[in-house]
Amino acid sequence: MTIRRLTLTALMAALVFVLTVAVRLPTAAGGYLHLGDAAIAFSAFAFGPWVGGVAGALGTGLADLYGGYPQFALISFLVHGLQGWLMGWLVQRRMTTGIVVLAVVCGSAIVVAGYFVAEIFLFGIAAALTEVLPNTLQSVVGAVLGVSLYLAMKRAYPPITRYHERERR
Amino acid sequence: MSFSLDLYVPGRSWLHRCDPRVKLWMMLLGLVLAFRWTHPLTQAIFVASLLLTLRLAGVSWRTLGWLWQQMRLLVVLMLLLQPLFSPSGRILAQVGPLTLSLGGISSAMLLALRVLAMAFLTGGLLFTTDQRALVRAFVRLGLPYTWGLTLSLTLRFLPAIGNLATTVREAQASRGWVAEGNLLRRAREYQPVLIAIIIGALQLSDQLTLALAARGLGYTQKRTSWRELRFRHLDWWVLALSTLVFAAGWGASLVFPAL
Repeated sequence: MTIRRLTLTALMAALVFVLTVAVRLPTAAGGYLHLGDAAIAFSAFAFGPWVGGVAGALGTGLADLYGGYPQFALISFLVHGLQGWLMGWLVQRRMTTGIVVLAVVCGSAIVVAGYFVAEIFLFGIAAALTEVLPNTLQSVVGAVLGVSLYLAMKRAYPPITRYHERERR
Repeated sequence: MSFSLDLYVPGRSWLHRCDPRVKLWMMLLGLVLAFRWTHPLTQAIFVASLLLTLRLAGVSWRTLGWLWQQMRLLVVLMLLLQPLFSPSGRILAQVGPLTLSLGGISSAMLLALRVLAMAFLTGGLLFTTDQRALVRAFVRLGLPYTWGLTLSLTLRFLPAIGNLATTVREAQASRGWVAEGNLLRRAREYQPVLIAIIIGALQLSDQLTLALAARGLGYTQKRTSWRELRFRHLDWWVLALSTLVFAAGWGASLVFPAL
């Protein structure tokens, strides 16, 4: 791991944390909706699978721990980590519209399915079922916002693509 | 916006002075027990004794109350909904497809109490452990140093990003920028602000990269540290005692499977 990747990962994890904590809408099942997915999608698109995955895992896991939802920390760590990694991996080589849509769908599917399965074990099927719809909404909206943020970012600050290329070496 | 969400409350109690590795071990044992015991009453006693332990370790009611505030919605919802989904045992009431049964109520109470136990266990670790000490403990337990550094850098970046966000927002607001309307609309209005924050943060990380490289990070494989974690008498005692309690709890559940 190069130093640059290390600091970049830490930075993106912090960004995911901030976006997760900044906008929180509590849901019925005691979880919360947040914009962390936008930051995860952004870091996965901009910096590749490993930065996206680790940032997603660390950022949301720590946000759950320190934001007062410790029961979700481990689930978030695994699920959002996988989400970030998969999204980054899918768009790593080419970024056509089809692949982007596929990445958004796959990322959201992982979040919804992952939370559902984990919540059945932890909180019972009742609480898990009530979370499916809000989770779907959150992850799809988040991913779309993240992609649009990445595209806007590329227009506003073209050097951002450099970070990704340096990553690949 | 301030994002230094450090839950650590400094103190001098026995739990505060414990080695973080011992606290991690205790948390792990506690989690195993929480999932091992399947009777609501056992679980209730477990939660009560956790609360007592935390109080004895000098964690204030205010801190514990904050944790409860975060948990209560989930607990109430689980108590209300879960009985209807897993009916078993004697049936108490039946309305259409909804069945209220003894087994359902007991499983709901079990799950709710288990979540509370998990919350208090994590709280016990985070309320009494300095973040840096926790990262040091992870590194001593075999986490590669660079991963530990990533973790602590993340925690260190939080206030920095918070400050950056405040600066950018104030700068934009002085140019007449306002964010209002529904959530989606506000998210769009926030985009220029977010872009400025990310650019600023990227430059911050570039500077940090240079600074770390200049200090020779990754130059040697073996790292030394000024403050070594070392087990003291207290740590051995707490370790032995907690393991003993765990063994007793596990043994009890073997002898009495109903626990």
